[in-house]
Amino acid sequence: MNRELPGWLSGAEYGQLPVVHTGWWRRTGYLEKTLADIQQIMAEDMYQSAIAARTGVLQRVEPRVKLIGTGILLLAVALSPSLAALAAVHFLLAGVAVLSGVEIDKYIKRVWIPALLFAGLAALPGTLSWVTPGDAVVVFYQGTGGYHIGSFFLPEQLSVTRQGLMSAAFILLRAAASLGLVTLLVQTTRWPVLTKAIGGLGLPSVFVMVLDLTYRYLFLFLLLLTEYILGRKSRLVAVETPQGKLVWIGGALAGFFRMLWQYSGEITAAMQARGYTGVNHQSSPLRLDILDVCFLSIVVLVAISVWGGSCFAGNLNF
Amino acid sequence: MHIPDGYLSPSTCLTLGAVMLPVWYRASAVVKKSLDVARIPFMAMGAVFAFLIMMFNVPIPDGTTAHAVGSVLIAIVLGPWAAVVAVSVALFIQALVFGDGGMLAFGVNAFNMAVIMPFTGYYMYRLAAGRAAGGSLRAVVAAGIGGYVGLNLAALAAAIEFGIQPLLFTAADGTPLYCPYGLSVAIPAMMTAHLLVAGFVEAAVTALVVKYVWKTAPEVAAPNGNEK
Repeated sequence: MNRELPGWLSGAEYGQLPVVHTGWWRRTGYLEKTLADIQQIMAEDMYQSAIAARTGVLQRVEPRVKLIGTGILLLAVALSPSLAALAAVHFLLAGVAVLSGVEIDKYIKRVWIPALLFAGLAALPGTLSWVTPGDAVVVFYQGTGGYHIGSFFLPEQLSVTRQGLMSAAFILLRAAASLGLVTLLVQTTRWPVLTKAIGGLGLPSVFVMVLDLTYRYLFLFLLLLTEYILGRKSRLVAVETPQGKLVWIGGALAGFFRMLWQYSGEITAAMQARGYTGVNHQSSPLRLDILDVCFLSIVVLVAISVWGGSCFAGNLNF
Repeated sequence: MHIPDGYLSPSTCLTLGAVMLPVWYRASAVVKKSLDVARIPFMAMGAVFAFLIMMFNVPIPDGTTAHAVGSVLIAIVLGPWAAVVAVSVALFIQALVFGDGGMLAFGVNAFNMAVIMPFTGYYMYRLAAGRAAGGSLRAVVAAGIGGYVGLNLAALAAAIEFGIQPLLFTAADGTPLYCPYGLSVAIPAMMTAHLLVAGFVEAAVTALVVKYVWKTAPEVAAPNGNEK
């Protein structure tokens, strides 16, 4: 009898899901956008599963140690008063990503595009002297005095300030570093192992079970939602009215609510039939090897370097 | 409304995270008391529902789309304490797996969207619905009002959290260390978008789903909606 796993089951490679790409200038409908979002999540999950199965540096670190290390670095990054230290963290994270089998282009896309879009763009108006006064770097206009237009006050000068640029850079680098840390944690740890590690650090087992069940059934319902939307699209022959769109969304969500309620009852019955009593033994004893100790030591050193410099210089202000 | 890391100081994040601990404890105790062993799949399905609501792109008049949060909707159909757990779990998975909202800011996001929003929206709904029967026009309109009020109060809380950062955390040379927008900028910026657009999206989704849930699954909505 052949005891080896078949190639499709044991391989770490994954079949990439097609993701819909549309130009930013082309407005797509709400159904297409929702489908594209779901495909993105599915593709992301498949990629994470494939990365977690590889044998990189982070995959070999004990999940609880990795979780503690990520927490320490998240705090250090948030407290860091130095842009140079934050930039260094990014180089370090990119290096660790490569050593853990994460493709660097995918890592950069996963971290920097959301950071630029959600944190960077919103920080941009903060660079102006109207929001952050300070030393002018680029002057857009210089008037002779402030103007009042009704209750609106137009100041004497509009410029990009050094303080504003620094503030925006802090926000962007911190947001991206935080996203990078969490991305590396999640991509190199399978979900059940991660939730078990969170449970091992003190989260009540009830919540660990809820997290596991939510994650498992989320993908089932996202698949059902995809079919639901495709069904809707295939039946659409006329242009929908705005009211019709909202009514369909309301009806679809109510249908899903009813379905979820029924599933809730069936899952409960299935769990009770298997002897589930609400007690969930999740934790196992923590055994550290040399790699875990090295990892934690490096994390502590990096955290002290990132946060510590200006703290010792008496510059601390958080 | 999902606040990313970098905008709020660690002390703000940790303070609101600490505020959330007794809230989560109380929420799990209330859900446990009312649902016994069935609480786990119930809470998980509630979280899946919260996630699905946030997944839906809702068309808005300018041709683009927006997302509803759904906390008030879940509070109306499952009860506000169940909404605390369901929305918190959905937010946690969004932050951890999909990078939507910061991990350090998770407690703040949960405070805004899983506490302020469901409770204020739910009690607004109860006030507006009065003794109206579930599924009646008045109850449906009240659900919409609850969604609108809940979302806007959550947005106001987020705006205040942003707005206090430059007052408290600024370097010696005037560089804001976290969010640079003071209260006079953050509140109008957040509230204009939410009062004029996002609030109406939330109201429409909340009212419509509540209407259809009462129509198609009254056995689920009635005991958990008006009576909790």
